[in-house]
Amino acid sequence: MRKVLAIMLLAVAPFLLFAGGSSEQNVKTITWWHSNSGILGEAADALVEEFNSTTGAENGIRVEAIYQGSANDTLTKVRAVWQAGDTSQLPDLVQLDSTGVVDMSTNPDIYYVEDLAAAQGDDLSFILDHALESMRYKGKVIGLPFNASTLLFYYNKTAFDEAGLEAPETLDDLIAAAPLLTQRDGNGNITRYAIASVPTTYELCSFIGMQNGLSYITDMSNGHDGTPTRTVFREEGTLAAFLTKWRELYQTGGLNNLTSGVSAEFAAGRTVSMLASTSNLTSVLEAIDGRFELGVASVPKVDENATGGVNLSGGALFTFHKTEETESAVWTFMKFLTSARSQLEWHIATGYLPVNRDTYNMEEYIAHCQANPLFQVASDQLLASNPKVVGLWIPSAYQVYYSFQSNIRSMLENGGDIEETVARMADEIDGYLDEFHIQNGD
Amino acid sequence: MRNSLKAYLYILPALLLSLVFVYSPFIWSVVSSFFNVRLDGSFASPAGLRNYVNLLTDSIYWESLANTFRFIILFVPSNIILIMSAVLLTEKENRHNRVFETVFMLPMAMGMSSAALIFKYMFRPSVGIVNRLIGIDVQWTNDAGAAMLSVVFLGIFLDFGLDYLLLLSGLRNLDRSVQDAARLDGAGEWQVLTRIKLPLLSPTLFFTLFISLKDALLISAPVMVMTEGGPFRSTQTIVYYYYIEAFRNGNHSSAAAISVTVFILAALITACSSLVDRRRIHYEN
Repeated sequence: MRKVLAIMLLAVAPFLLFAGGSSEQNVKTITWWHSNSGILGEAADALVEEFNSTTGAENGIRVEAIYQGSANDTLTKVRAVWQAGDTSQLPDLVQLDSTGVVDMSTNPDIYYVEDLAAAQGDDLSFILDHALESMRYKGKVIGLPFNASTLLFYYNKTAFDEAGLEAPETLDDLIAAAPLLTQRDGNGNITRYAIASVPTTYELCSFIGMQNGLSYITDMSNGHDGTPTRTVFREEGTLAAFLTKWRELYQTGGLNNLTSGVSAEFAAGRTVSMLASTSNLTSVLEAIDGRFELGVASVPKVDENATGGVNLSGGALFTFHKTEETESAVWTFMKFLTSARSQLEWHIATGYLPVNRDTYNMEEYIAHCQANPLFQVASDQLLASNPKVVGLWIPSAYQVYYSFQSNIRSMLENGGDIEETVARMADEIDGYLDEFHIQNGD
Repeated sequence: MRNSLKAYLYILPALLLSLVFVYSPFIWSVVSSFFNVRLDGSFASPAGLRNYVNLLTDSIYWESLANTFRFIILFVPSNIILIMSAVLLTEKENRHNRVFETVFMLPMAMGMSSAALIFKYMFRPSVGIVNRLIGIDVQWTNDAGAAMLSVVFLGIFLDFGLDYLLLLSGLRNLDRSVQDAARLDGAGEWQVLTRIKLPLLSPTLFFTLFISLKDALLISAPVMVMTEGGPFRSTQTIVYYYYIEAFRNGNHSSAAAISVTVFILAALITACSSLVDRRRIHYEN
């Protein structure tokens, strides 16, 4: 027995020594949970390495970046820690997409980034208005926008040129162009569609948001002033206005009600246009592989009065109340990630739109846009949009997504009435909201 | 006394594990289903039977349940028939069959998520290899019926290896003398199969049937990776719906109510199977 103990002690001894020796006296380590994989992961790691060897090293801060799976997986993990009530296990910094805000806004430990900046004697004036508005909750910026993207109209420029067409500015233009872009085989089967899409939450945030300069899907400014209590698209007629055009588009025969694999169909030339995030630009170019020329344009307007543009979405950095030392280190790292230079590097590597307003004036940025005019279109569209057009923050986001998608498709394919369809969607979503408020006891 | 204490000590680790990871979450779910539960998991107020009433009037719940049964009906019989055919074709132990055995058992070596992702790409309508190879134009990801079939194929692929191994070893270990005697008496191969092999194999066959029934009822992870319940919820099974409610929507009370109903279903299936087991299955010795 004594022998065993002695061996065990011997085995453990080096670790004890190490533990004593490695206590880094002046280096503050902070953890960053993120959801960047592939190209994004490499770009994020590059930024972290750069920080650790420059700003971090100067200020005695070391960042440990931890990939936690998809944005949704990351949220699930944060939620699990939160529900277990063990706040010491929360990361110092976490990157989440907009679906995370509903959770974060009710998290008692959340530290609004606007408050953090103020406490550090700083402010958020270096961030683009659109980005700030995209993360404003009850008047205060809750998370620091980091990876920004918007909806974008992608089209097969080769096919459009062959038909003698320009990119559509309005849905009416698209409706007029659709018959010229659609191709059929000898049996009348459609071999090439004008566009493939079933609009749901993301698309509708833009298609409804752009109307009358600014519109929302729900009250509380799409959930940015508090948890929504009911939808407003029925009373305001915005969804019906969009669906009227969308059904016309369907009736041309050129619209394919496709819900997944749209990018692949587009790259294969089976549909000549699609709506997708600006963040897909790099991968779509790769998938096309030079088979045809890609064009991008602003999302077609619902009508001439729809001048609001698109909303900014993507992801943001959230932090929690910690020790003063940690909070200061977190702010230093956040500033680094969203600095004009880092946002330029991040943009070039990933295609995400810069959130730092100074990036747009940098010579390197302008040169990059000249070399890659497609990115120029994406950033022009964003800058021309109303910053108040924002994404939807809603509980049961998944159910809402499917409510839009299923009802719109069913209306098109089964010839349903627009008003009835709008009413059904409003009732379903209002039902989810009522249920949320009952469950949460407010 | 000393002996029984020792026995209890032996089962203690297993008991503790199942208490912590199986029974306590289950009891917690049952309790939650009778409360209004906030986003952070705390109880807001008692809800009585409201969560259950909501479920019964929730069309998505019934749709998910119907999808699950559609999956079971498509999956369980075709799974058993295909695997049983493979087993009978490779029953004899020889050099050629050893190659086939490896091929048939190989799916076991593949992770669920990897397989699901590969299937997802194989079944892409215009760029996937399935349509290309067979020369068909099936909208696997957009057509509700076709999407369910693609999940069934994935399910069979995932189950194939283990079930094949179980049934093959079961068949090869059967007492040969009965079959030989029957053949001497002039029984044809079909008679040998239906009158001797299958009845003797019934314990293993029943076991795999029951396991695949249970797998089918609880299927969710392959759906999550391959179709995410789509298109238009056509492949959203009941357990996947539970996952959505609990982990996507933060609707804990509704999720708890769903899990209780799934438990009741699983319990019913288990009860039925043990009934069949006692009455209809022949065990040697």
